[in-house]
Amino acid sequence: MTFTYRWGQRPLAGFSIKRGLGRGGFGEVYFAVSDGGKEVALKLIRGHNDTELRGIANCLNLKHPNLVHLYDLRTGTTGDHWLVMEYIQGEPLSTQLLRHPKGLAESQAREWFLQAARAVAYLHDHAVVHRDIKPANLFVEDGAVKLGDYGLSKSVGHSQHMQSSNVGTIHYMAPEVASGHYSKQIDIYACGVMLFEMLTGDVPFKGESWGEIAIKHQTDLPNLSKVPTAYVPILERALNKKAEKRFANMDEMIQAVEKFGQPASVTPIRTKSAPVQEPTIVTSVARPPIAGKTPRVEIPTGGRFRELSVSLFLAPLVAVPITAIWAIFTGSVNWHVLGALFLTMTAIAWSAMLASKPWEGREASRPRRLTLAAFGAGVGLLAFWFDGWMVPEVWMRDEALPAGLDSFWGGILKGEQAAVQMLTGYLVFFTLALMVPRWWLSVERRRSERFTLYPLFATGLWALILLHFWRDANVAKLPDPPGYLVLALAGAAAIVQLVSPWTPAPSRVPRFRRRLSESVAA
Amino acid sequence: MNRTLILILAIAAPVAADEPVVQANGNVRFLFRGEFRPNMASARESALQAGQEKMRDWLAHQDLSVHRGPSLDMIRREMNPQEFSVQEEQILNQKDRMYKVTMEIELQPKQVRALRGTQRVVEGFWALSSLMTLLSIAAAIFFAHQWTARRYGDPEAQPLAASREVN
Repeated sequence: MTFTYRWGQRPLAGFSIKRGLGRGGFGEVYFAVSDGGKEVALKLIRGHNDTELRGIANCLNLKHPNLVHLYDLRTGTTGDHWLVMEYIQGEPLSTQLLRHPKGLAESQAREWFLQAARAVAYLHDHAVVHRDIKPANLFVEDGAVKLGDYGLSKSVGHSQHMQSSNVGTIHYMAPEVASGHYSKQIDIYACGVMLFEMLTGDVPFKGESWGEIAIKHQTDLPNLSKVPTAYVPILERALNKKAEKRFANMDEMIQAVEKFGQPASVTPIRTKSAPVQEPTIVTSVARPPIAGKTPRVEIPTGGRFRELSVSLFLAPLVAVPITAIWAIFTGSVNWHVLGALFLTMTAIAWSAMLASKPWEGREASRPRRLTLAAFGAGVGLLAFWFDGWMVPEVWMRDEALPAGLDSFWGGILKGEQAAVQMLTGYLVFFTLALMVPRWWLSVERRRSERFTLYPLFATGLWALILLHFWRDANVAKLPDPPGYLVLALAGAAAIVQLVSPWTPAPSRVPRFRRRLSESVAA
Repeated sequence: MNRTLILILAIAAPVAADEPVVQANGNVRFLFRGEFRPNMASARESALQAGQEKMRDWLAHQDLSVHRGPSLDMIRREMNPQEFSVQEEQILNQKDRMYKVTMEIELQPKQVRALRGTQRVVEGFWALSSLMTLLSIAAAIFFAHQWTARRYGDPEAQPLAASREVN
């Protein structure tokens, strides 16, 4: 971990840097000592505009025993902004939770939660929404819990507001944050998640990607089977998907938790385990982001349409080299096959994007799959058409069947038997080929990587399986389905990734790396 | 005036039927004659050209007409044309002979399907070109809107500008 400043430097008048403590998206945190000998934590704030700096300044005079004190907001010698904070001797609650993978003792969890909740209630009373409540922002010092990082909170009024900048960490992010409309209820939700984690040792919603977790927040119900029974109704209410059905305010939630008895006289967990002579302050920046702080990027409808137009335009251009590579590899100059491959690949890529873009960033698995299935049927018809088969016609029952034609599909169609069987094969193949794989993950702006080989292998393998069954079902000795369909699907999976806009999603850091990072910070 | 007498030396085969015949296996049998040419290779080429025209005409008159006939290369490579008969003629007072070849080809249903497919692929390319043109126009309009909005400060367009960097 490299820091801008080193021991002995004085980027802020009156303070000498002793060491770096952590860094994050917003800046770096240092342990420093004032000229008078006061130990403080200095947070170098970067990437914040004047409005946000005013928001920090508004928090300078907040005083609560469970809040990390903010002393001052100053401008350094290089023009950078520095937040002078209380230096906490202790460790974050997240580290405590790592030592208790099955959760804290109930009495301990309740005590610490109530302290944190009182700090949040105090912030709300002063019209401040924290927006990033999580164990990593709570510090345990001599048995007392202190809430930090609230200097980057937002001041809010009584009404809800639109916001699209950084709003919390994905595991603690309320469902409404994705829509951009949120209020202090997001803190209540985050407190619910945190209480759940303190009681069980794990967050309620986990997933492989940022999007998956966000979707679970919006749709899945938390599994409360491991939670002590008394807390179930509290968590059901705090974790309600609808903000208006949660606790009206933090005081209400505090009262609900307090009902289960007076806070136990717990033995404070001293931070003896921290193997350092100099106690450390650990802020949220000391912990690598689990899933990042940036929520879904809100793109207005016009922007989304523009993105889609550009992606659709680029798709055939990317299909050209893929087709060319295949032609070179196979030595094929059959323009019918090459053309059909190119057009089918483009049609699949377009279908995947058209069916996924409207629901981007939302949990809509069923409508996506249905739309993809419909598009798949269309692509199947197109591929059948490109293969040169006579298209069966709708049979008007009052007309006689011409010689050589039969009726099919319950008497709906008339056509040659071979053509109808091939049409059925194409329709089934492409409907399943588009409906089963999760194509929208490759379209999502917030996918973990711009391009991975996994979708190519997955769709290619799925196409091979479908093709195998299709050939197996071909008992009438019809021509085999063309093998290039496998490449068309795998190629489309590549195209979709390459032409879809991408914003890097913060990756999930493995637990062992988090532990390592925290132990290094400690 | 150059008077030329043509002596028909041999007629190796009966006159071929003009109309294509559909076989029991679905193949269509074509017989076609080329022009008299001074050597066999040229005569065969002439026959193939005649066959190409004949097949093109036949395909165009099918129920679902196919306007894309087979290329000579395709005929040679995929349709295995067989010599049905050869006529040789000798011009009086000259040593050279002239040849007229009749060839036989069976056009298979899969080849008709391939020709129909090729025609459709070409149509598909035209349709794709049209869509690409529309998309490029739409993209151009969006970029123009974005540019003007940034230049003249339309606040509603800021998210568009923001999204540009990641596209």
